[in-house]
Amino acid sequence: MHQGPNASVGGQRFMIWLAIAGAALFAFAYIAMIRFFPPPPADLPADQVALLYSAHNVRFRIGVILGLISGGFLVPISIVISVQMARLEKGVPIWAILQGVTGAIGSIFIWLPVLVWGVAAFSPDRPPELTLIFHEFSWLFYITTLALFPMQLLGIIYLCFSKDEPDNVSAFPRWLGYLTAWQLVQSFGGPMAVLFKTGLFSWNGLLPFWIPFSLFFAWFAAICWTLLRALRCQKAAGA
Amino acid sequence: MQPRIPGEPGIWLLIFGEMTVFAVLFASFLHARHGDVAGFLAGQAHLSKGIGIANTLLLLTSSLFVAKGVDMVKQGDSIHAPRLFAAGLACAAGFVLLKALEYAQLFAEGIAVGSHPFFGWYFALTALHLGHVLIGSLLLSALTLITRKPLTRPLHLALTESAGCFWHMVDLLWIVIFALIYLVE
Repeated sequence: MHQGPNASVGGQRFMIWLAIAGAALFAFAYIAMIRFFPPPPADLPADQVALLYSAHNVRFRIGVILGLISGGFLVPISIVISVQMARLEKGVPIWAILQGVTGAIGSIFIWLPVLVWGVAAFSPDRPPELTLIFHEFSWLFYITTLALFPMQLLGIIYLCFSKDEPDNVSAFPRWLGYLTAWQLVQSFGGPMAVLFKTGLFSWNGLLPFWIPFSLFFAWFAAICWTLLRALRCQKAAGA
Repeated sequence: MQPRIPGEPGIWLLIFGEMTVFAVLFASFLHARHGDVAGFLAGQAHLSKGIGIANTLLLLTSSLFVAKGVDMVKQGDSIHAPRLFAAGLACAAGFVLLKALEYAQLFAEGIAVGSHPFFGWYFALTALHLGHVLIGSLLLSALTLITRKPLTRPLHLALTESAGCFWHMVDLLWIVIFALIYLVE
């Protein structure tokens, strides 16, 4: 046990706080500057969509800049999760690698839509139909994260249930396994947004937006907390 | 003796969370239906009650197999347990096949998600449930493999029970979906 990579506790703590700061800045940019929270209805006509980007255009574009600065916050946290996973794995830590790689690539679902919102806002006087394309592309990109996140979560779930260390000092307690499993199950609601423009299954609806986003932030807060707790214990143990 | 809860507290968090989400969906379905009862009944007429009933029976039977399988695991029977889980898995495969058949029939009639709000709900609820069936099938496959050896650690038993509880939830949700979509008049 505990013979995996021996990364510095200070470095890992720094990356966790980098991720938390990034997430906080992203939330500020998204909610207060870009103001896509709650999301615009998926059946909005083109001229009203264009208005989303042309009204308060400068504030929106500054929001985009802040969103791009902070939108990579999933990368450092994924790295720390991987380091902690690798401690518990025997041999080549394949679950940790899967988690780290999918987390790093998965961050694209967070920052690329912001970049496309920037493109949509860049020329407020172009024909509304063209802005609509960027709008729909970015929103469906933002919502349908299914390609990578379930794989990222899989290894975390596996380690939560298979590890040998006690729950109260672990970065991967069993309850986190169930929370992560629920998040994985609910991630299947996201792609439904491709089929619906109104109701609970559209991109501003319960299943594609509200549940996955609430669960993601609950999970993010939970794993930051368990990681920091585990690092405290590892430092005390001199690991 | 303390009252015993099957599985672990964590799985009940997940199950109650899932059931709450589905309860919201069911309530919204009934609300939408209330606004257009005739249209929803016309949509319902396109569905095959036979397939719905067959699927309900398949899932109920699979739940029985899984419950028996979990019992066998607790008794340390590593011969019958994997067979029972495999039988449950076979029922799940039957469910998926019938569902695919039903979708194919509707598509052949030219019916799709956008045809009528009823079919939007029908496809959304059944596809969401089908996703749960597939996740549950992965769990049953895992159980079929790992119960070939006797499970001795209490945590492994709890995990087996938790997977079983998840499967019963999938069954229970289907019964409500079946009643709401195929039967309500």
